[in-house]
Amino acid sequence: MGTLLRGAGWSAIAGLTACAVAVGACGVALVHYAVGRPLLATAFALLAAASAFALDEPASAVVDVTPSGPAAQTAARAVGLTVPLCGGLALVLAAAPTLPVAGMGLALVGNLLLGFGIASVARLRTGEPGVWASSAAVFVLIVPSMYGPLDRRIHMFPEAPGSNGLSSNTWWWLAGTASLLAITIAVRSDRAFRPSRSPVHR
Amino acid sequence: MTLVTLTRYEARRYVRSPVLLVALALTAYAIYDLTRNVVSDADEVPTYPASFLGGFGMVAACWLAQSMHRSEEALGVAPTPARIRTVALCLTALVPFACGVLSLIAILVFRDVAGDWTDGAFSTADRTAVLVSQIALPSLGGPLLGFALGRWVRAAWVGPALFLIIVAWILVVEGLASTYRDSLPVLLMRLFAPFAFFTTWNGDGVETWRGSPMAFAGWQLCLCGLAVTVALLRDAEGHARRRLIATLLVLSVLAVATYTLAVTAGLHHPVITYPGYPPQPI
Repeated sequence: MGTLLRGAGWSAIAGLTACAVAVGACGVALVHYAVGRPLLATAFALLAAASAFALDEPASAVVDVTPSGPAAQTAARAVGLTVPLCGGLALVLAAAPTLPVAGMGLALVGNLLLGFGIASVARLRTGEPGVWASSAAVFVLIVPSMYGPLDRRIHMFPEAPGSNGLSSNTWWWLAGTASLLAITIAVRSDRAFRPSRSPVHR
Repeated sequence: MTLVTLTRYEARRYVRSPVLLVALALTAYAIYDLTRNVVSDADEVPTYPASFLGGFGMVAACWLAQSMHRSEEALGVAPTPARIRTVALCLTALVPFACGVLSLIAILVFRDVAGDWTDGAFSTADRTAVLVSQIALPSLGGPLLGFALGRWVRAAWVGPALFLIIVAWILVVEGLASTYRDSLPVLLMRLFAPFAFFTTWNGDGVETWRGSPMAFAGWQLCLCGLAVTVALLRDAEGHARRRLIATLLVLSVLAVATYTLAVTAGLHHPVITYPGYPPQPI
């Protein structure tokens, strides 16, 4: 596992987590203002992007044909999620007196699973899915909150009391379950014979 | 390879980027969707071209510039100097800029505002400057910033991270500005950004905040110039490098001047405009 973890994209994971903590700290500081929640939601989106880099494998052409299967490789790589998870937990605890801990915790886990889930699926096609997976995760998480008409219907972060539309908890139960399902299916699939990367097919 | 040929080639690669294609589609849909009804909040519509063409365009531009690092070995032996390639990349930013200008025209033509008060207490020239600074200039500045970033930084995650940090900064300063409307530090923070709001709809009327939109547009143009200069500095050597550093200094002075003007000129106190009434101090 140590050897597997040595090749992880730690700079991307740590860099994005640091950005998330900085943005989230502003959100915690302004949590009593209307802008606090959107800032924390942006921080969580950055954590989702960080988790998407956990599966980056620069030496995938070699790693994919080693005796350890995709499930073992993914499990080892999942350790990379501890960095954004710790960053997110710090934000949840800091905002805890004002915002619901359970709702924020669920949103945090959901965000991380979503990023990791997209990366797991993308890992079937490429050895370094981080860039595209994190972009897709950020796109899914940010565009609805940026676009007013959609923002009023779907909440991806614990909303203020009295808000209408799909609640954050419902959304993250659905998205989290779908992400877990995607991860399970992806780790059961054989990725050793990707046409574009496998040296066997060149 | 000539500059024109390179620009055409890079523009084709840029336009084929899925991120930019998504940005174009979302911009078109947002403009269509938000101009169907009467607009009370004049600031809502321009946010989308700025976010999509400027923000997503920046991410796509950053990745396009970073692809030059990956093919460095091949490009290094090509007869075209790296400086020309960077100039071609920067000229590619005219594509999203053209889309931004088209968005501006579409908004001006199709937007149905509730009344003259919708745009706050600004003059016609200032209103035009607000729209140019919120729609057209971010579409140019975002991609240029992406190219500058991509020429200097190899890590692909930096582009999306910078986009989210800029979004967070704008959220912070907008939130503070709507609470501390008359505060000078908040005004300084609000205008120290590549995009700024000048009015806001509070449910009853339109608040017009402090600051000069025209000078702010000048500040944005200076930021665009700085981005191009920083991108070109990456491969410059000798005399060209010295000239670029001199340009950088001049542009920095200009940026400070336009920023100072943006803060000090314009309204001295925020005002609110209710439908059918003249502007009143808040």
